[in-house]
Amino acid sequence: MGTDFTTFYQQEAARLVRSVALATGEPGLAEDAVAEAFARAWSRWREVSATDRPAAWVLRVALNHARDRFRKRGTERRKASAVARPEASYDEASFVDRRLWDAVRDLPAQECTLIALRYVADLSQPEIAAVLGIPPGTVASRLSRARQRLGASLGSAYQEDLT
Amino acid sequence: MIDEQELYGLRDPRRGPDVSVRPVEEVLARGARLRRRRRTRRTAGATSLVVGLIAAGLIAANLKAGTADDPDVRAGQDRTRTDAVAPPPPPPACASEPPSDPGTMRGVSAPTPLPKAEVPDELRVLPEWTPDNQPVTVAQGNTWTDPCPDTAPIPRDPSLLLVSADANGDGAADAQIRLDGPMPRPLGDGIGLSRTDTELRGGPALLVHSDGIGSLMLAWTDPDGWSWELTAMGGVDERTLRAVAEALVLTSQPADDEPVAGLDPTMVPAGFRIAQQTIGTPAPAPTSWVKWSLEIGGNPGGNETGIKCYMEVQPVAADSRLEDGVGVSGTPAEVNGEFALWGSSIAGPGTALYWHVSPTAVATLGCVDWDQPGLALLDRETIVRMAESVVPVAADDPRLPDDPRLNGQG
Repeated sequence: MGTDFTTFYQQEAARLVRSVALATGEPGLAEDAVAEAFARAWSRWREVSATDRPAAWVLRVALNHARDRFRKRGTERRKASAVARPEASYDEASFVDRRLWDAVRDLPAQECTLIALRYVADLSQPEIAAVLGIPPGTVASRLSRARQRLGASLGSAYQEDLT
Repeated sequence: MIDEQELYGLRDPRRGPDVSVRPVEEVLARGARLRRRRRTRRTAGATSLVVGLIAAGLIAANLKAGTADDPDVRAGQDRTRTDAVAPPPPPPACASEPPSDPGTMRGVSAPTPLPKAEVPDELRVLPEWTPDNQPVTVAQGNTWTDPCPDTAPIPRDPSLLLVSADANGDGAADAQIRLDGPMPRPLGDGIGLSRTDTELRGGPALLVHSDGIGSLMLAWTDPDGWSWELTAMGGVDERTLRAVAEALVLTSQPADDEPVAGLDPTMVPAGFRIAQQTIGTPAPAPTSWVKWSLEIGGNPGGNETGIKCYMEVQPVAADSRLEDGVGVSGTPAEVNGEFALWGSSIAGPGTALYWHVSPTAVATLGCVDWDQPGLALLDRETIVRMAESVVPVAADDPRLPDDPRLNGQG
């Protein structure tokens, strides 16, 4: 049991922190929320490990925890993320390119979360639907819309940089 | 529309802010605390059920609190507030425990002498070969009883046993950490032990040193009223023992497939492995049993000198494995071609031999050379040779000295 959990943690933790960081815009909060969610998973590991996708369980708890923390602080999510986010940059020396990350962060909240769950956490669309409690069709349509928005906001210059 | 492959690039640390993850130990410790809290609430609910109507509100509140941990609820609620629910009562107090006797261990009364003729034949044995032809100096039958059979039973086996590797190559684990529990009563008074009050797992605990044999014990009672004893032998330091104690996930009433004591592998001290772990309800220790005890050599009634061997024979369940029957682990050994264990005794790991003298009796044998400095133990080969010479003996065999406790009757 413990071996499974430790392996699970080592394989998933970084990716899930990154997912929540993208969804919330606050890496520090993401670290707290994911750690708390993993701790809750460990406290009932027998049940959680029996689920189809324990990572989805952890993400759901982590996102709820993060939302709750936002509520407690009385801080609006978008406002917090805007304050926390540095200027968009493209630092060739260190190969840091935050333009895509920041563009996702500029999406409407739910679309940002959808992108985080789909492309960072690597959840399937049905898993995302279960985590967020929305219909699978809605997941698909909003992901598609989010990708369109990103294409538009990043523009051709970004695509050229990639090539 | 942006390409999906490009979006997968969001996983790349170079494409966003730095993030880090907490050490898994921190997560495990937090998880263990959450689990203990939930169990406390769950048991509190069950206890309330029998209290009556006035408890109905508490039960409802408790059930509500219990569901808050389910994955489909809003996470992030402050769980600690639900701990205001009263913890369950401890196991029933011992109504019949006699006054503490400084010569007894917790859980057993002083032994009652038993005439040799009343000791079952399968237990009454002696070794015909001894080092330096040392004679049997003490031969006793004893009846041991649980002084408090009116409480919950004491588990027969350790709920968790960690053993180290055999680094010094003597054929036995160099050290072990053993967890006993759930015990219905806290650790009682013992002989030759120094005790220090301390804190552990958020509550009071006892740190017990057994000077001279290098063992160390942490004993505590969890909020649900059940007590636990974590004992280290073989030079394990207090810090290591504490770390293990803090990381334990303990369950006094486990499900059939649930360990009594869980320990994440990352919290197993370096060089140790889990050798034994009780799953489901622990097997109870017997409440009364007979032991055949021999002392060979030494200087009865005077200062200890020379070689002295201690041998005990006790009954075990017919279908039990050797490890389960005597609750030890050790290195496999052989006595007359049969499976044996070179394991632990009160003198430490790798100090005694365990083997079946019959399908329902197990013998333990270890020897000390009191002429050597420190605690000098005889080597395994010598002990095995003695064990291989063990034979049944009649109650009136002249090699067995009288038991002075029986005034010539034993």
